[in-house]
This record gives sequence, C-alpha cells and structure tokens, in this order.
Amino acid sequence: MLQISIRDPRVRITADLPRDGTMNIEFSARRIVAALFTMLLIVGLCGRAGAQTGVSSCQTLSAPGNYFLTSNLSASGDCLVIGASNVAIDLKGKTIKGNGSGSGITDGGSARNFAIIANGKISGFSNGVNLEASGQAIISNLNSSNNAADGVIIGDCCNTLSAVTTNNNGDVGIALLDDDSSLSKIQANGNGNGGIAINDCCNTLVGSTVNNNTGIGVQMNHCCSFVVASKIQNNTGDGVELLSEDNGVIGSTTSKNGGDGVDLPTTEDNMVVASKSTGNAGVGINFGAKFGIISGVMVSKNHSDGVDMDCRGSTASLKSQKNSGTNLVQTVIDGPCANVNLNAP
Amino acid sequence: MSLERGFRGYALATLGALALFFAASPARADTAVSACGTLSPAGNYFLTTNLTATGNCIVIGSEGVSFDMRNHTITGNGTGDGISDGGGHFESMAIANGKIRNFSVGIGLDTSCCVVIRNVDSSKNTDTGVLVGTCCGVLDSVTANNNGTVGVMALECCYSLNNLQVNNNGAGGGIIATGCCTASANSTVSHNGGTGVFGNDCCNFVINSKVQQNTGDGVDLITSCCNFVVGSTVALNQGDGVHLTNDDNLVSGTNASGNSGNGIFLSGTDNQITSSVANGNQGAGADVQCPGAITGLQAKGNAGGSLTTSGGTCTQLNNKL
Repeated sequence: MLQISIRDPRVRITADLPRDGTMNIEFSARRIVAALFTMLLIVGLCGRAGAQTGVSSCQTLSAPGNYFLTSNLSASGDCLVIGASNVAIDLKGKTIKGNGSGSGITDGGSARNFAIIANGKISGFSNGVNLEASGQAIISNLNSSNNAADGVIIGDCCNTLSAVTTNNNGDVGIALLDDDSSLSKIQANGNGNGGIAINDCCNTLVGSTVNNNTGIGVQMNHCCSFVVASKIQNNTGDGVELLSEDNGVIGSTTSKNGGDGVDLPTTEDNMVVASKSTGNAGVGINFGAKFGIISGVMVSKNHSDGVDMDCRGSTASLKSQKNSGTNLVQTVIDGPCANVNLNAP
Repeated sequence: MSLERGFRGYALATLGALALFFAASPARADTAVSACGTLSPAGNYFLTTNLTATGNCIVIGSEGVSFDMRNHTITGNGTGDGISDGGGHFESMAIANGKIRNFSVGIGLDTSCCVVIRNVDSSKNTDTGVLVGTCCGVLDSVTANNNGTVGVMALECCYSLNNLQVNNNGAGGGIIATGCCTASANSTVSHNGGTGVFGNDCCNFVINSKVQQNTGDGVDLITSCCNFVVGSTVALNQGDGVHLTNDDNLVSGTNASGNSGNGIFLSGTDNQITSSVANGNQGAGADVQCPGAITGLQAKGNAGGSLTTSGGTCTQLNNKL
C-alpha cells in the first residue's frame, strides 16, 4: 500500500509492501504509464502544497509553507512580512539589512503563530524580528543585532529561542511579552535597554551569556522562571532581576553588574543554587522577602552587602566574603533563618 | 523626659539582659548531637558520631534548625524516618553533609517548607529517599539511589533540584514532582523502576540532565501545560523518552533515542521541538499533536516512523527524517 500525505510541507511517503517473494505482479505498459502519470501528478500537487519557495526580495509571505532566502536582502522599512500562520523562513546564512526603520521579519501586526525563523542575520532595522502580535514561534540559529530598537520581540506565549544572538540593539536584546518560553544558548550583549526582558511567568534561560547591556541583564516579571548555567556580567543595572515568587537561579554567574547581582526584590520563595555573585555594585544576592533559599553559593567583593535576606529562610554552604557592606544580612521578619555551613564573617 | 534609675532599676535591667542572653544562646550555639532525638529550639546542630535507630531518628522540632551531619551516617532498621519534621510545619530548615540508610523514608519533611538539603546521600531506604512536602525547597548535590519505591518526591510546587543522582529506585520512579514549577537540572536519573522524572502539573522543567534506562517513561510531565525538556539526554527508557501532555510543551536540544516507546511524545496543542535527536526508538521518533512547530529534528531508524503528526498543522523546517 502506498500512502502519500500532502498535509505536511514535505511530501511523506511510506511504503508498506508485502515482503514474501510469492506475489506475482504483472504490469502492462499502459498501467505503468498510468501509474507514473498519477505519481507525477501527485508529486506536482504536493510540491505546491509544501513548497520550498525561494525568496530573493523583501515581500509578504502570504501562504503557509517553507521559504528560503536565495540572496542577501536590504530594505527601507519592513522586509519580510509573515502573512499566515505556519510559515517557516530559512535564511540559509544570508543577511537582511534595513535602514533603521521597520522590521527585518514581522507579523505585520496580525497573529501569525507557529512561525520558524532560522539560520541567518538581521541588522539595521528598528526591530530585527517583530512578532508582537504572534506566539508559539521558534527562532533558531539567528543573529539579530545592531537594530535600533529590539533584536527580537514576541508578543504571545510559548516560544523557543535557541542559539540566538541579539547584540548591540538600541532597546532590548530579546523582549518576550508573555509566558512560557524556552531560551537556550542566547547571546544578548551590549543592548541599550537590557539584555533579556520577559513579562510573564514560567520561562527558562539556559546556557546563555548576557553581558554589557545598559540596564538590567535578565529581567523576568512573574513567577516560576529559572536561569540556569548562564553568565550575566557587566550590565549597568541588576544582573538578574526576578520580580515575583518561586523563581530560581541555578549554576549561574552574576558579576560586575551595576546594580545587584541577583535581585529578588518583591516576593517570597525564590532560590539561588550553585551560583556565584561577585563584584557587583549593589548587593550580591538581594532577597526582598522571606522564604529565600540559598545552596552552594559564593558571594564576594560586591560593593554593598553580600546577601540580604529576610527570615524565615534557609542557606546551605553560603560563602560570603570581602563584600564592602555586611557579608550576610538576615532580618528576622516572623521567624528564624536556618544556616548550615555558613561562611560569612 | 527625665529618667531616674536606682539600683533596683539597674539590677532588673541587668537580669533582663542576662535572661535574654541565655535564652538566645541555645538557639545560636552549635549543638553536638550524639544520639537520635528531637532538635529544638532553633539553632545549629551537628552530628558527632554515626547513629543507628529503630524507627525515627532525628526529628526536627522547630523552625530555624540547621543540621550538619559532618559526614556521618544515620542507619535505621527499615522503618521510620532518618530525619523527619515530625508533622510540624516549619518554614526554614537546612540539612547537609551525610548519609542516611535503611529507614522507610530517609528524609521525610512532609509538612515543612523552605527547606534546603545539600550534599546528602539518602539511599537504600525501604520506601523513599527524600520526601519534601510543602512549597518551596532546594535539593542540591543530593543522592537518592536504591530506595525501595521512589528516589525523590516533591509534593508541592516550586523546587530547585540541582545535581541530583537518582538511580536504581523502585517502582515509584526516580523524581516525582506532584506540583508545578519544579526545575530538575544537571541531574542523572537512571535505572529506576517506573518513570525517571514525573511531573503532575504545569511548568516543570528538565534541564541539562540525563534520564536513562528507566522502566517507564524517561520524562513524563502531564496533567497541565507548559513543560520543557532542554539540553537533556533521555534514552533507553522502556516507555517513551519524553512524554508531555496538555499543550505548550517545548523540547529543545535534547536527545531522545533508543527508547522502547516513542522518542518524543507531545499531546495537546502548540507543541515545539527544536534541535533534537530521536533515533532508534521502538515507537515513533516523535509523535506530535499539532498545531505546533518542529525544526532541527533528526529522527532516524525508529520502528514507528520518524515523525507522526496529528491535529492541525505543524510548521516544519530542516528536519532530518
């Protein structure tokens, strides 16, 4: 039985043929020709349905499907406008350059979900990638740098950004306006108004570098987000600022930032684990509310206190030394903190 | 305002100060522990010798207790808890540096929150290695191997589980997180009966971990949306490698190969796979309910086909199927 599916952009053919050698098949020339004609017709139809469409100029990509750049593009204003959901754009190593206005790739202000944007560079626009009305996007292996506003801005939830570089943009490197996004292998450096800013809950930032931004390195505005195995350094504001409860910083370094290394200023139940916070102009780790938890953390040479936390809270193997202020401030709010293996003279 | 203090006034003040000092001192002093018992009041306690017990051994009797086992071992007779909160709801606690063996539950903090457990090996207990019961908590550099039922059980939301070794536990599985928003990072979860990492609410994350050769699914995050598996190896499990349900699940940079079920199974809608590998699984490489998006998926040699999609349309780019 031959099954051909044209639902997907690529034609998928699976063959399930009897494998015993006893089947006796007789093809007449007419039947062979008919079969070949039918197959060619189907393949032709499928080719259109799941087209790999070459793109050699700025334009609206109006139909779902796969598009690829055949050359570098330059634009005044918007370049590629995604005009439907389920559009994939492979830049194939090419560069899209703007004149400081518009967006390199945009949804045009309409919801165009499930986009994939991969494998190229975008620079010189207002926003490199602007999916402010869309979500559920994947951006992979993309460099969106040197734009006047944001490198990448996405408005709706549930996006994956992997191996994305957003350096030297005028505003934020990556701005996500909704929840539930996975960011890994991000480079967000030298941006004008913060490295990564996420406005809602439940995000992960893994294996990333966020350095030398004006403003806050990583800011997440709601609960339940985790920064893991990342380096956040030399930003002019806080290194990591997590503005609600139940957030975690794991295996990360926050150093030489102009504000606090890790700032958890407002609510309870935040966690810092196996991390370093050194040489920040503010507090190394600042818990603004009780129930903070620390494990395996080194805090040193910050220009204010090492760790400020309200009690109740818990620490294990906290080493806080050589900070300009107090190495550990534990303010009893409504009960004691528990500390084991504390080294904070 | 004029204050006049006579001798009596000074004496009372001095007595008051002394009383406060002695009342406060026990809470702050490091207290040696050489026998099973209750640790109260708040303060730092440290173990001076190995302990053996019939039933519970150490009972945390107050919030603000830290307990340093100083590399000693607490051994039970297969019943009770090695370290327990005794049913108290304590909201700060720190436990570190030792081994716990052969209790029913190695560490059982069923009703306490805001706990940190670091550098502890709670293995070979008859039921559970570590049980933490109330939001939030941190387990860091914790080993829970060869326990009779479950390695690590987190009963409510919001734990950071970092650098765990959770292997060879019983039919209950490796890590069980029944609430939302738990991150399991940099951990190894292998050869457990049942599921390697199980989550039962939204927003549970498995990051940079190895979850292999468990008898159930490798990673099974169900009931609610928005679970992520990032940078992990989820291989050779007897169920699905990655099994995520209920919408908005994201798999990125993950190798889900050689599993007896599907490599990656994503139900619900709005799922994504990015830069992942799913080879040599007995089911499908990836079985994804759409709409969603899939890019950079390599899926080869899977008995159930490389990629199966259902529902709406998944955008696909640069997959090697």
